[in-house]
Amino acid sequence: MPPVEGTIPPPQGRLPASAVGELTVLRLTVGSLLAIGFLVWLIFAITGYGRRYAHANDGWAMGKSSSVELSLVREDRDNLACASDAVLDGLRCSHRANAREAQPKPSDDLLLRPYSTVDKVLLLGSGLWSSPGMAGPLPDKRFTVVCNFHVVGAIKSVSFRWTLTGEFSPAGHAIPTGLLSECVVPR
Amino acid sequence: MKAAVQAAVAATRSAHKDLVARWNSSTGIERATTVLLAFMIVGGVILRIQGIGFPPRLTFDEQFYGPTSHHFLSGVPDLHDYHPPLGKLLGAIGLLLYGFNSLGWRFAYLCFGLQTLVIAYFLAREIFADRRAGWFAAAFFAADGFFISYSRAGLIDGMLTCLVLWSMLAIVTARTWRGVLATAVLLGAAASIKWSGAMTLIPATVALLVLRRVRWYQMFWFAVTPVVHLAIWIAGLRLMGHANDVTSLWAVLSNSFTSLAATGVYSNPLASSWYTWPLLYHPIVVKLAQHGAHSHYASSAGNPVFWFPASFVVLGLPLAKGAALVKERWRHWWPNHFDPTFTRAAMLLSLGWLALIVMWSMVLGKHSFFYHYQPSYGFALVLLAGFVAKLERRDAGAVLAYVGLAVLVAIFFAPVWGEFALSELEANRRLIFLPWRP
Repeated sequence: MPPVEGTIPPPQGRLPASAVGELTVLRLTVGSLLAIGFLVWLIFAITGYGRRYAHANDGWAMGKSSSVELSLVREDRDNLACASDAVLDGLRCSHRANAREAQPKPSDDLLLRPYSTVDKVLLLGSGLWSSPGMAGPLPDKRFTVVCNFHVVGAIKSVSFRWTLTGEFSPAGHAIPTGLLSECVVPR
Repeated sequence: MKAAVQAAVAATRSAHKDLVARWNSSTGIERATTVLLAFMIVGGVILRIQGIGFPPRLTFDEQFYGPTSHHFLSGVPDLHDYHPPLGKLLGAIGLLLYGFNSLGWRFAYLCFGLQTLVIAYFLAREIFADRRAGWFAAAFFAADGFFISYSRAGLIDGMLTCLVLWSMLAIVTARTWRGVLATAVLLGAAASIKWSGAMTLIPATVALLVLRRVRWYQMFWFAVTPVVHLAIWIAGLRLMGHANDVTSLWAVLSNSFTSLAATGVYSNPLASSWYTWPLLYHPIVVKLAQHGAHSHYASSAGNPVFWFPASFVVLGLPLAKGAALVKERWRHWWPNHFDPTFTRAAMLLSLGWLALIVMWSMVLGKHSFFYHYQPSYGFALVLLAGFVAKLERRDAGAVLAYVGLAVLVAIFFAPVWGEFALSELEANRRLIFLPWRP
């Protein structure tokens, strides 16, 4: 077989030729990466670990984080508000239980607002509007936002307001409360 | 695809044949060493995979990579991380499979962590022309906490090490322009994980010239490396919806570079100087989570039984070779102990170690960290594997004792590498030095 252009036959005293060719090594290494990915996926699938872990965040428990998809309109930044005297890890509503504005008004990172997930589950969260993913122009119709929801507790004695001029109405049950982060509008 | 499957089948058959032949021809001591090596590889793989989803939140620097991968997928503008985009783009594969959760943002990094064992095997086997060296390398990487912890975290440094060593494997096995081109592409990929990966061009170029398996002018294929790098940047910017024309790309690159350089003025309690890394002075706990009354640690402290000998051989062999060149007394000693194949491999791996560490002595000021040493340590560990494989032919008993000690130390440290539930006391028994603790 004639030598391929650009190659040098290994002279005496030089390293012995590789046991396998260059392309075989590349194929094997690329193939091994794909095989590893498949095997790891298979292990997680067979043991149920992948499914369990991927959904482990779905159950809201204190201290845990989960992915939530919230339904919003861009005016909700001003429309949504809650009223309560409860403070959880520094998180609080914009209004006191008597519906008067809390002073001083907390920053968005600490300001709780009521939200509804696409599954119609209510939660109280802070930090959504200050997430970097919410910085750009928002859709002018109803849209959804995917966030990480880190639960710090639940507030039972809380009232909600869904429009800027609306009345506060009591929730009547405990509402999971926490931090919303890494919020993005799915593109 | 069919060719790849055929190659994999052929390689498996060949490996099986080789294994049976070597087993039958080896002595009892060598067989015992082989069993321990297999134990290290299997144990290392299990340690990497088990419980990887815990904790179900971002830890340490995962906050820079997991969310950014998420933003790539959702097309959200995000330039808060200054590193090139490939690590996060590959990291996004896990998010596609499992969603934005801890398993999702660690999956791809785990795969590359496991792939490093394969690359280490092939690199040692090819560069030393010795399969036994390959098995030593795979086992040493498998039973070392530096690589275990980074396989378990959504951090790009393990991926960088894998691609750096992969680039070296490609150039060592290159026989035609295709091999050099593949090296250039892999180098571009390594540099697109972190810019420091571009330093691999130095040992790769020297390997091409020293090994002389392809003509010297084939090195011009390395011009493809920056093209690959820029193409990856453009793809990343486009995915996030950023402007990706040449001017915008230049602005992003300049901003990333100056922002990274500017971090050098800030002190950080986790920072450490480059010269402390070969001494295992300040490894970082890259994952730490409280759970009930216990904590789970993933410490990047390497296996001391590998660490210090690796530092010794990577520094000592070039010095000894230098002495052999100038001192009459050493001139005959070197060729009596090391053949030309080993000599070239040792010098190339030492150069790789040096190239990947030297920039940290010049840039980033106070902002250098233990994990910046990982690619260099990879080179040192491959060299150690070749050295131990060579030593085994002279004194198999000593190597068996050494490998046995490495296994015992790995078992001792496994709980703080693989995030077992530990009390603080139990953890501190293993993280014995204060700079090792979180």
